[in-house]
Amino acid sequence: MSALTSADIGQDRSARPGTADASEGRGRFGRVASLLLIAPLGLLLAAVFFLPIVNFLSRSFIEPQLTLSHYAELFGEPLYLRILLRTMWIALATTALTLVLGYPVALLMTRINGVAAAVVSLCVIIPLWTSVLVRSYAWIVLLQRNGLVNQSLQHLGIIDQPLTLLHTDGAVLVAMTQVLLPFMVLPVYATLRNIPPELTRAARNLGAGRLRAFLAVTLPLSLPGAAAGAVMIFVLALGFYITPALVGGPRTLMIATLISQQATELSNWPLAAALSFVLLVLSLGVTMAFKRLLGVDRMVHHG
Amino acid sequence: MDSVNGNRAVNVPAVSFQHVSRRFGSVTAVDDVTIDVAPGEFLSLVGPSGSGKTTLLMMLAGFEQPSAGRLAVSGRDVTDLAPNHRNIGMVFQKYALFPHRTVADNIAFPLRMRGIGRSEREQRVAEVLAMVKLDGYGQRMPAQLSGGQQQRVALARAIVFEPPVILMDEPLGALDKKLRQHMQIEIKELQARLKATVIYVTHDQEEALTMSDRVAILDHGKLVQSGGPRELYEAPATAFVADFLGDMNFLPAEITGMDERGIEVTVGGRRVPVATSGCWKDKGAVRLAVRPEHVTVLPGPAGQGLSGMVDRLVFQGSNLTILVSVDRVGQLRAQVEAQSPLASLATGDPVAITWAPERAHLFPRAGS
Repeated sequence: MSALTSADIGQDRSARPGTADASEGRGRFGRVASLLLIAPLGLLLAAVFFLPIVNFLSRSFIEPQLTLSHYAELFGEPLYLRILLRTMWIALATTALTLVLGYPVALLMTRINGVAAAVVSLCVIIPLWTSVLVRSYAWIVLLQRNGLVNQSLQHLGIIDQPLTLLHTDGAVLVAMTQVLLPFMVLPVYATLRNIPPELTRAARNLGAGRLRAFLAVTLPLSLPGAAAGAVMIFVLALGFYITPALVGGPRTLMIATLISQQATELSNWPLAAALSFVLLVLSLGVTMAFKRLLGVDRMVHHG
Repeated sequence: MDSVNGNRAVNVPAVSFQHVSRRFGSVTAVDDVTIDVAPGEFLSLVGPSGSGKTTLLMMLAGFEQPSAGRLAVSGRDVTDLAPNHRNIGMVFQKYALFPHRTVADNIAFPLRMRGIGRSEREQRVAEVLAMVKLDGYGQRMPAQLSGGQQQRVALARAIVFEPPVILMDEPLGALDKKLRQHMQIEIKELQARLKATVIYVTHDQEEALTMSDRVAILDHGKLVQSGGPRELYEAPATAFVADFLGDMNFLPAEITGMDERGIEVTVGGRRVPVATSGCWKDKGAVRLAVRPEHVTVLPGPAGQGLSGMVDRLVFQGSNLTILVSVDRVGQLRAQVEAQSPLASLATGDPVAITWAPERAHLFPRAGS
């Protein structure tokens, strides 16, 4: 999924005149040299990534003998389907939330300079440097029964009894949104920054107010960035493990946690593999669907 | 806001800059500029980069706020008006076409913003497309057009809502020379047909001379001189204007005497013809300026005027430039027709240099 976004951002860059050098460098190496250069990484990936995954996923089809029974179990058990649906709903809601919260931040980042710009950029980027584990525990500290949020609300006299905040869908949603937010802000910021400022000026000059100029020019031209961020976040959220496992509870299981349970606690590797395969197909499906949509989008825009 | 089209009284200037200044921190980009533009006039703002010409245009369009002074369009004060309420057409340096909209949508944009209905929009878009010779290109995307075609679309978008004033910010800067000359003529013809008031920013003095009814020259944010192209070319008020417009020889000269009939000027110790109307009161060092095409070269040793030696002949197609080393003065350029008998001069030949008295301009020497 990150391949999609980096390729998109790369395309946006290569469209700018100043960065043509990178594409001119293409084809400088012959075929043999290219293969030699990529061979070490290719071999490493094959040995420690593709082989184990293929091996693992294949167990859902061949244990104890050639069978689809694990998939029948998966799709026959309402609990698993509920978890699958909940996972998709949480991933979708997270994507929507990051879009709503992240887009204005990205827009702000294009309009400010100096110290303010540095502060906002740091606020976006520092969480990326912090371990997901740390950030998830921080949410536990905030949301637990006698955590900061409940204490503050009680001090202010808004509530008498502490609310159940932790181990809910809401807690998972809030924590995942916070963890994934930079993946929306950064691609949107990159596309916004590439929109020439004179386009907005032209719209204003031709009679559009601030809002209409934004809706007619800035918003549509920034959609590829928002779409790239949305795909990345949706796919990451589908397979999110640590945050839901810590902040969510036993009743708010997501598919990654379920896979881990099946594999490590119940030693039901074939079912874990079947669940993983479904997750993989979902992720790839969403990525390709979006890429196709974006591709069509491009054709409409640039014909 | 659209009513400004109607109340264009005879004596109301289409655009009026009144003591307009713009400071960025300690830098003064525009310094107390006052100028009126008559309805239907084609005014060029020229000057080197950083002279404030684009800032002046941006203030009129509403993208920069003046630090002091007022701006009026057709007699209406627009100083504090938002850009979208000014009803001024503008062609941007890099066209600024909306890349995600078709040519027709780009051109229809200002009409839609003005609430004009679909059928009238389509009709007017078709009209201006024909006017800029792009019939049938409405459904293309801007990226599918050449630079010159994109320029025409930008032009069409700026005129389709019939604004009383059209601003152009170096609109031809990105085009190659041939296409630029072609578009200069087209813009000029279009302007004449629409009787539009145009304010045109360029750093290309030749372009300004060709296209304008009037040229305003800016230097370091100040309006140095404004007038018809011919007037500026033939009677530059300052050495800067003389140097900026066209080609000019500058020679160190000395005022050695004056009486009621005129002044006596020498260059390199020799008397030269000058008929200045300027009021020069003191003797002393000055700069004498004369255009290469006004320099007369006479073969053979000098009887009068300056004497020099041919350095080199430079062939330029229809013209020939003769570079002459003048004794104790330096090099001087003379421009003659390529067919002139002077083409047979060779390096080292002695020549005499002179000019018609009214062709010489005197300016104070820098620093004196």
